[in-house]
Amino acid sequence: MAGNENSEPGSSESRNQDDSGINPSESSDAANAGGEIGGLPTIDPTAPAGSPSAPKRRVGRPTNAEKGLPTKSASKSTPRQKAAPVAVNGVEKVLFSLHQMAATFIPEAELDREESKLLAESLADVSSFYSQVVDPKIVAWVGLLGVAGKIYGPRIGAFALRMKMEKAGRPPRANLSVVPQKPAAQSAPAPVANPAEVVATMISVPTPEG
Amino acid sequence: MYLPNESQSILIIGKNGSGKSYAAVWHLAQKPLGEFPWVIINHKREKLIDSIPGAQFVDLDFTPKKPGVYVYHPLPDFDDDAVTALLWRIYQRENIGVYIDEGYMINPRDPALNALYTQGRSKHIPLITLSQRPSRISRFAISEAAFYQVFYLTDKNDRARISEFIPGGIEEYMKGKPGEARLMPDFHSIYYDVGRNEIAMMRPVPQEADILDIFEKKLKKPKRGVLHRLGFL
Repeated sequence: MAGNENSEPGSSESRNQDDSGINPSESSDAANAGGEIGGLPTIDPTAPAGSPSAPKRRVGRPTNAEKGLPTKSASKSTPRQKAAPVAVNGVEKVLFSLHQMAATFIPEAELDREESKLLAESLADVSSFYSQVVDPKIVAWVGLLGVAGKIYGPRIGAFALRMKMEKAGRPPRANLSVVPQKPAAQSAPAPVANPAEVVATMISVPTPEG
Repeated sequence: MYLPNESQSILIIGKNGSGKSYAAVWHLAQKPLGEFPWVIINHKREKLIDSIPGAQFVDLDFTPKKPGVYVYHPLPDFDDDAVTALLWRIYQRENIGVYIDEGYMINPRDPALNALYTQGRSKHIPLITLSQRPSRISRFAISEAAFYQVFYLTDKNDRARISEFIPGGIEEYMKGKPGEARLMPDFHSIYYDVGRNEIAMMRPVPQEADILDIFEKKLKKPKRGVLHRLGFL
């Protein structure tokens, strides 16, 4: 069946090696006769998208109806909620604790609360222009990890250093502990001793000679 | 008329040389290839499939994770177990399209294959199945298809089997006395949308070069910087 002169604009010449015994000239005439073949409407894969004879392509994933989820029409009654912006407070806390943790090793990285707030607000401003919204759950988890790192990181580091020094036979430094020390409770001032009593006590102490 | 969406399966049948491979590759080209992976099981090493630009040729123990077109070349019978294992991994992973170039090359009773046919829709595993002989493929491949595209079939039994699933049957379009033109022209196919109960005659798909061009555009990876990757641009 070489030399198939199929007049369809989209037919492939490489498909001309057909052995089906079909008369291509007659069949292509039939195909071009109109918008119907054998009583069936025709669709043309070569037609540009949007034209009546072009097959329609369903873009994207299956609809909610196909997935058994609430459909768009069903959710029309309730106004669509705008994507929640990033919680500035949460991000601020995360930034603050992350920088506190980093400051253990790099003191310059430390941020104060005001700087954290400014940074978080700027970040929220930028993210408001993007559709992707940070899940508050993720923010909370990152915050937890940051705080946990801030609390446990230095302790683990100090413990490891102490063990290393003990192994090396050197006494640990007194100021090795990174655990913040609570300020000592103000003890009541010791009563001022009477100098005369002190001297009397010293005199009354028996000496070895007698 | 609509094309299958990203969870619907299509069965394309027709005799050798009827144009079904071109139609199937064209259907694949219409898919959003940048969204999830498509696996092609190409037992007979169809040249058109192997010339898809951007396709990756992989071993049977590889499971694709990133979007793209992945071509497997299993040996008939010898690699049957590996194909079954691959299909089970796809079943577990979900969101992977499967293109089976010759449906009858896989055992019709293969449990993984039948699981994909029966549960593929809910797992977002669309299938494109081709076969020359509908009477030799899994019954689920026929019964669970959301679309049928039927090219010329020589065997009467095959016509009868597929006619069970298409209202009005296909016999009258394929009849023709010797020397006379058939009602269904060359390279045309009967296209049936089960969900909408719509039937049409599909004209031949575009030429090979045009089909491959679609892949070229879809699978071409643009160079992207850090800002693109982070979603800022």
